[in-house]
Amino acid sequence: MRGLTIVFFLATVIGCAGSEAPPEGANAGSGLFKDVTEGAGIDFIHDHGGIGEKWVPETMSAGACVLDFDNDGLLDIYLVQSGRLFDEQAPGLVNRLYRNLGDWHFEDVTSSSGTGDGAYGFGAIAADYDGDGDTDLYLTNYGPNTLLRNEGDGTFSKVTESAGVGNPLWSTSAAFFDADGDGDLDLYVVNYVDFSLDNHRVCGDFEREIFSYCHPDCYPTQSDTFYRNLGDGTFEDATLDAGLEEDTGKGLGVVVADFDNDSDPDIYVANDSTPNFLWVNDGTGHFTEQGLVSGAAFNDAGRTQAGMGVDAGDINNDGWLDVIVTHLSMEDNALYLGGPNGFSYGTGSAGLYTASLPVLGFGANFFDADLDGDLDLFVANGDVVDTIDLLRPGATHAQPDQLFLNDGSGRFALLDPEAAGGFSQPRVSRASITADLDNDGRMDLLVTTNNGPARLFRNRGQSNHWIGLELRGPQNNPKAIGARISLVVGDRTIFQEVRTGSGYLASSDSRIVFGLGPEAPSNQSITIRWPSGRTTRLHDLEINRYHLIDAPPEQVLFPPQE
Amino acid sequence: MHLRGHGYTPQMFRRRIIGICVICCLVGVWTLEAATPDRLRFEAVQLLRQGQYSQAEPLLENLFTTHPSATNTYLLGLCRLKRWNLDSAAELLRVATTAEPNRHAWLNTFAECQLERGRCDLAIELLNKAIAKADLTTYRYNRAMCRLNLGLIEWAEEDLRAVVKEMPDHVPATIRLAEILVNSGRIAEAGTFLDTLAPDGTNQEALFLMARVQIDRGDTIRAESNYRAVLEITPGHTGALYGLGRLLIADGRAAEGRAVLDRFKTAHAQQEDIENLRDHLANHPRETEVRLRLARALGDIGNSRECLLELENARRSAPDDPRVYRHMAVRFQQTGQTAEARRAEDLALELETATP
Repeated sequence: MRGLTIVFFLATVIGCAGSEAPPEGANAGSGLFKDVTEGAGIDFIHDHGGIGEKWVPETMSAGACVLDFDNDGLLDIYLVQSGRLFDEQAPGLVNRLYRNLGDWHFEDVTSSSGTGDGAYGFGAIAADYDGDGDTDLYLTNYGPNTLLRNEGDGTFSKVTESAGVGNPLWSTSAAFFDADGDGDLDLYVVNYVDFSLDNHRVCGDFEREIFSYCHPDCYPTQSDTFYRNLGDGTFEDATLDAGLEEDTGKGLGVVVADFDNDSDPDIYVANDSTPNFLWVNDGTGHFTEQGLVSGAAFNDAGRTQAGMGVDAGDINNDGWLDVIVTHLSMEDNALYLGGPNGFSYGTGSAGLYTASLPVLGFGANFFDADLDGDLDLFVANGDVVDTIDLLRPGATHAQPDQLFLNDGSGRFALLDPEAAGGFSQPRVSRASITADLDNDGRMDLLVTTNNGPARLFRNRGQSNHWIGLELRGPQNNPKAIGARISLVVGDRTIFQEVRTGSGYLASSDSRIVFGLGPEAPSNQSITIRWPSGRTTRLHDLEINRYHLIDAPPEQVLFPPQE
Repeated sequence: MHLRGHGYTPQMFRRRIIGICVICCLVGVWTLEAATPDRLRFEAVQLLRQGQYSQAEPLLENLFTTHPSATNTYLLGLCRLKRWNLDSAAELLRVATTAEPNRHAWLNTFAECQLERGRCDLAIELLNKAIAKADLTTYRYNRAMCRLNLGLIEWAEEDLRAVVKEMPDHVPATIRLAEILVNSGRIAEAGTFLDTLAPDGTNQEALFLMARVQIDRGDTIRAESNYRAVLEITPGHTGALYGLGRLLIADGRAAEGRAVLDRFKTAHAQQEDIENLRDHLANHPRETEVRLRLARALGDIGNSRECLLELENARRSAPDDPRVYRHMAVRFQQTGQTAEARRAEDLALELETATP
C-alpha cells in the first residue's frame, strides 16, 4: 500500500509538473523518441558496486560519450563502468565500446579495441588530442584518470603517464578545447570532493535506521586541473599558470564556450552546493573567475544550488549563450540568460521552474529535438539517495527524464513523457548524450543509468528540414572545436558552437545540425568563425544533408625570407 | 422561636441542618458529577482559546481518562499539537477523526499535525477530505503549504489564489503566492498581490519580493530602497546583498556594487560556518544549543525558511526549552506569521514561568 502511495505521488508530482499549458505546436513532437536499446545490442549495465556502505562515489556515475573511432562515418558508443570501489575489480566490470554497424545495430568491440578500462569510472570525453586523424578517449575516474590513444587501426593504447594527464583526484567531467589559441587542444578536468575511506561518513535518519549517502558538504573541495597541450602528445599541468587554481568548488559538470562573445573560449563549471565558476579567458589562455559578478554563480536569491549537469546554447536566438544547470529536487534548474551585461536568472520566465522542482537533474542537453529552428532541452533525472522515499515521503529514487520543447522565444513546455518517447519510465539517470547515430539529421539520445542499463533513444522526428555541418579544422584541432557557426534564415540568426565534453560526465556529437522547420528556406547563409579567428561564408547549402567544411588554409602574414 | 414553636429543639435543628447538608452534598456531588465534564471541558476550551495550553492539558487529560469520548480525545490531541507534542497528538487525532470522520475542523487539525510532523503526503489526504466537506480558507492555506513542501507548485498556487481571494489581507498567503509568481517568471502579477499588502517595514520577505518586482517594473530606486530596508532588518541577508550588488552594477555604480557584493561574499562565507554546524549536528542531533546557533546563523543571512526548519528540529529535541520558542517567535514575525509568532511567544513565556 505504501508503495502504491509513493507511485501515486510520483504520478501526481509529474502530472502537476507537466500541466502547464504548452506553447503552440509543442504537441507536434509527440512520440519523438523511441527506446531502441534492446534491438540495438546495447547490453551495458552499470554496476556501482555498492555493498551498503553508502560510499558517495557509488551514486554519482556513470558517464558515456560518442566517437567515430574507426572513421567509418558512424558514431560509436563508449560507456563507463564503475565496479568495485575499494576492492579488487570484478572480472568483466570494465568500460565498453560499441561499434556502430549501421541500421541501429551495435557490436561490442571492447576486447579487440583495448578500451576496457577497469578503473572506478565516471566520465568519458572524445577528441583527437594529438591531431593524428583519429579520435582518442579521456576517461575520468575516482583515482587516476586514463588517456587512451587511438592507434588508427581499431585499437587504443593507454598513454596516461607519458602524456602526463593522470590527474589522481576524483574527477567527473572534462573538456578539450584550445584555451590559448595555439592551435592544439588543451584539457580542463573537473574535480569533485576529497572522499576516501578515512573520511567516509554515513548519513540518514539514525533513529529509524535509514541510511543514506552524505551531502557533499561533508567532504572538502578539490581544485580543478588544467592541462596545457605541449603539441607533442604530452601535456603539462598549467592550472596555476592559467589562473585556474581555485579550491572552493565541488565540480560536476562543465561546458566550454564563448560566453562573452569575444572570440575565445571561456569555461563554465557547475559546482555542487558551492558557487558555480565562470572562467573568462583573456584571449591568451589566462582566466579570471567572474561567476559572481556576471550573475552566473548563484540563483536569483543569492543562494548556491547543487549544480550537477550543465549545457550552453542560445535558446532565445539573441546572439548570447544561455546556460542551464541542473540541481537537486526542490531546487529549480537554473537557466542563466546571457546578455551584454552578464547573466540574468531566467528559469521562471522560460517556464522551467515548476517542472524542475520535483526531480533531481543530472545530464542536460540543449539541442533541436524537433528540427524547428530552436534549441529544446533534455534533462536526465534520478535522485542520489536510494532511500529517499523513506526519508522524504513523496520523493522517489527513480524519476522520469524530461524533454522540454522550445516555442521559439526561449520559453519551454514539458512534453508529455510517454508521448516524448518512453521517458515516463522512472529511472536513475545520470549522463545524457545527443548524437545523430544514423546520420539522418535528427539527434538521438543516449542516457546512462546509475547501477542500471544504458538506454538508447532513436529520434523519430517529423519531416522538418535541416542542414548539418561537420567541420575539419587544422591538424591539431581536426574537429575545429571552438568554431562558431551562424545560420541566417530570413530575419533569424541562429548560432551554435563546436565542442566536445559538456554536460555531465559526457561528450556528445560534435557536429552541428540546424533545424529549419517544415518549409524549405528559399535562401540561407552560414558563417563559420574558425578557432583561428578566420571566417568562412557559405550560401544556400543543400538542405537535409551533412556538409564537410574545411578550414581555410592558415594565412601566413610574414612568409620566411629566402 | 418560630422553629421551636414547631416543636424543634436546638439539637433537633442541628441534626436537621446536618441532614439537609448531607442531602445537599449528595445532591451536589451528584449534580457536580453530572456537570463536571461539561464544566471541565468548557474551562479547558477557554484555556485553549487563550493559548494557555499547559494549563489546559491536565484538565483534558483528566477528561480523556474519566470520560473518554471522541470530543475529549480530539481536544487533548489539539492541545498536544499546540504544545508540539506531535506524535501523541497525531495518535489522538487519528482516533478522534476515525470516530467522527465528518468533522472537517478535526480533519484540518489532524492535517496541521501531520504537516508539522513533516508528513505532507498524509496531511494532503486529510485536507482533501476536509475541503470536500467545507471549503474554508484555513484548510486551503494548509493544503497550499503541504503542496509547496512537496514541490507541487501549481496546485499550491491554486489554493493560495483561493485563500487570497477570500481573505485579501492574509499576509502569509499573499507572500507565498507572490513568491511562486516571482519564481515562475510572472513578476508583474506578483506585484499586483504585493501591492495589496499594508506597508510593513518589519516583514523582510515582503520587502525582498517587492524589490524583485520593482526591478521588473524598472523602478530601481524603490527596489534599492527595499533591498536596503531588508538589510536594515537583517544586515547579512544574502539575497538582499546579492540583489542590491547586482542592481548597483547594472545601474552603472560598479564600485559601490562590487563593495556590496564583497559584503555578500562575506555573508555567504557564513555559509561555511553553517555547514560546520550542520556537520556537527549530523553526529550530535540532540544538541539544542548548537541547533539554535545554526538556526540563528541561517536567520542572519536571511534564510528564514531553513531557519524555521532548524527551529522545528530544535523543538523536537527540546520541547520544553523556552529559547526555542523565543527564536521561533522572532522568525515567525519576520515572515509575517503573526499568529504563530504570538503562540510561540506565549509558550516561551509559559515555559519560562514554569521553569524554576
